[in-house]
This record gives sequence, structure tokens and C-alpha cells, in this order.
Amino acid sequence: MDLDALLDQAAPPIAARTPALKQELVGLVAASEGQIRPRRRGLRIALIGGMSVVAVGATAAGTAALGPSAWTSWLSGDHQTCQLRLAVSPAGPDVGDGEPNKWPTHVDDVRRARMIADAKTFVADFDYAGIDRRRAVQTFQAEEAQTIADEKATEPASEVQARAAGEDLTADAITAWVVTRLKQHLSAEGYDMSTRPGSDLFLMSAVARSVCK
Amino acid sequence: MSSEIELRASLRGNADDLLRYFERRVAVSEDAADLLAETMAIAWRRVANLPAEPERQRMWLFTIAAHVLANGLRSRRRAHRLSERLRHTMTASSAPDPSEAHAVRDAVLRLRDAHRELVMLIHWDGLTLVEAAELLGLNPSTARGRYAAARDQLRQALGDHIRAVNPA
Repeated sequence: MDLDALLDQAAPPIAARTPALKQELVGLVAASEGQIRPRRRGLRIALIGGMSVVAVGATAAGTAALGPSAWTSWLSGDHQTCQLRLAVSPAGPDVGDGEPNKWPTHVDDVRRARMIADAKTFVADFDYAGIDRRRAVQTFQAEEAQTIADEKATEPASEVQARAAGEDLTADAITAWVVTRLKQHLSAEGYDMSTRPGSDLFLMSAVARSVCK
Repeated sequence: MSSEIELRASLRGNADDLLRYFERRVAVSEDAADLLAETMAIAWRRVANLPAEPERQRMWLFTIAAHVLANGLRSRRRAHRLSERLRHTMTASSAPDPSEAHAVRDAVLRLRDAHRELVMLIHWDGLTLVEAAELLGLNPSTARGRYAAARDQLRQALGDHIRAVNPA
């Protein structure tokens, strides 16, 4: 017996392919077809100029989740105090959900760590009080309208995200405002912030967590 | 033929292979049912991106499966409601395990990650070397080199078994 035969015969055991299991697989295909779900509103994945940003909604998170370093706040329309925290972290090579992998073929770990550290410093030192919230919202809504138009052209109706509203909109707009300037800063530092596959943009992601109480 | 009809046919045609792909990569075989259900759900959500050719459809499904697996291994997944019945239907195989199987699997598990996955895809999942390379994001020549290196290492590790069964 040669190596090929040895390998082929050594495959780990799997569940017996009984008629009942085959029947269940057919049933699973049918059941999955009926399970095309709309995105959950509470956890929006926003692609702001290509960078992966997970935004946890304004009423979804508990105060404790913010931690002691929550850094920007505003008064909502219904007189709640809202706070938002943005954290930058290294992104993994796998974006999940069947999206094309845009991770670089070769990653310089030292350069990557330097970029993430630079990004964290930028986010920590940002002048949040100086953000023109009205202008941030207008800018975000213009970008959002384009994103939704693109989604309508390429995605099933159930996948098209709803327009942000209320304090989610403010949080998303502030996040987009800061992330846009973060990318401009890193670009000026010599990092490739383009959306082409393999660019430095895909080495980092951000989580924006907001809460109103 | 509409994309929905094509995807339905493609999922039916590849469901067994996809389940097997997951079964051989998770510690608890019932988790494979959840991962398969998640793969199918994502495929339906992205049906607009389904390739036209059946072979490309198969690779498209395996690519989704690979992403689902990577995500699933990083975080504990909730049991997928869709796969509940399938999980209960999965019973251990009664097929005899060849005597050398444990030694061979052990040798495969000792390979470097990049080499091990190539060997598994080719010998246990039935993919060609080119398909395995695509799934792993490698160009075929790189995959061919890694596969050859993996085989050399396996020959060294399994020398006794190869000679015992087929003395020169």
C-alpha cells in the first residue's frame, strides 16, 4: 500500500450516511432557504470607506460595557445622556460571512503593530468636543444613502440595511467622522489606506460602542 | 434557471461533502451540523453572488464553509435551530477503522498547519490540488511545493507502516 492509499484510508470517521441522514440534509437545504433573515438592527456592520467597523447600537449596550474610558457624550432628543467609545484593534485575516479575503499575502508584524499603536494614540487624543455633529450627520447620511443604493442593486431586499435613526445615527456619524480622519492621518504617515485587496486598511478594525441612559 | 433553483440544486449536491468537511475539523461532530446550517444560511443570503458554473458553485460553497469554520472555531456558536434534527440524526459510523489509521492521522496532525490542511483537503475531502490551493488562497505552485514537502514528511514518519504493508 502506498502513501496515497494510506492517507485515503485514514480519514477520520464520520457519521454513518444513513437514509435518515440523507433525508435530513435535503430537509436542511429546504429549511435554510426559508431562513433568509434581515440583519439585526442592534449590531450594524458599517463599512466606512472599506474599514471594518462594528457599531453596537445606542440602546443595546450596558453602561458597564463602556468602561472607565468613555470619552464623548451628547444629550439625546429625549434628554438622555449618550456616550460613545471607539476602540481600534488588529483585524484578523478572516472577515467571515463569505466575504472575499482582502488580507495581505505577507504581513510585517512590527510595522502592523506600529500602525495599530499609532491608530490607538490618534483615537485617544482626538478632539471629540470639536466635532461638528450636524455636519457629521449630513456627511454620514450622504455616504449611507450611496451604500444603501449599492446594496439595493446587488443584495436581496432582506439584506439591505435600514437607514440609521435617532441616537444610532448620531453614534454612527461620529464614528464615521473619526474613522475618516484616522484613515487620513495614517495615510499621511505612509500607510496604504486604499480599499485595494492587501492594503494596510485591512490590518485593523474598530468597534464603536454607544449607550444612552 | 434562476439563481435560487441553481443554489438549491448545488446545496443538495454538495451538502454531504460540506458536512464531511466540517465533521473532520470539529471536536464534537454535532457541531458540524450547526456549521453546515450556517453555511447554507449564508449561501442563501448571498445567492446573488452564486457563480454560474457548477464547479465554481462548489468552490464558492467551500469558501463560505471555510470562513464559517474559522469563525466557528474562534467563538462558541449557539446551536443552530435549523440543524437540530440533523444533529440528532448523526450517529457514529460503524465502518471499521484500518489498523494503520491512528498512526497516519497522528502523522497528519503533526504536520505544520499549512501542510496539514492541504493534505486533508486532498485526501479526506476529495478536492484537487488546484481546488485546495484556491480554498487556502495559495497559488498552485506554492501549494504543489507544500504538498510535496508534506508528503516527504509523512513518508519519513510512516516509513514502517509503508514497508510493513508493502515490503520492498
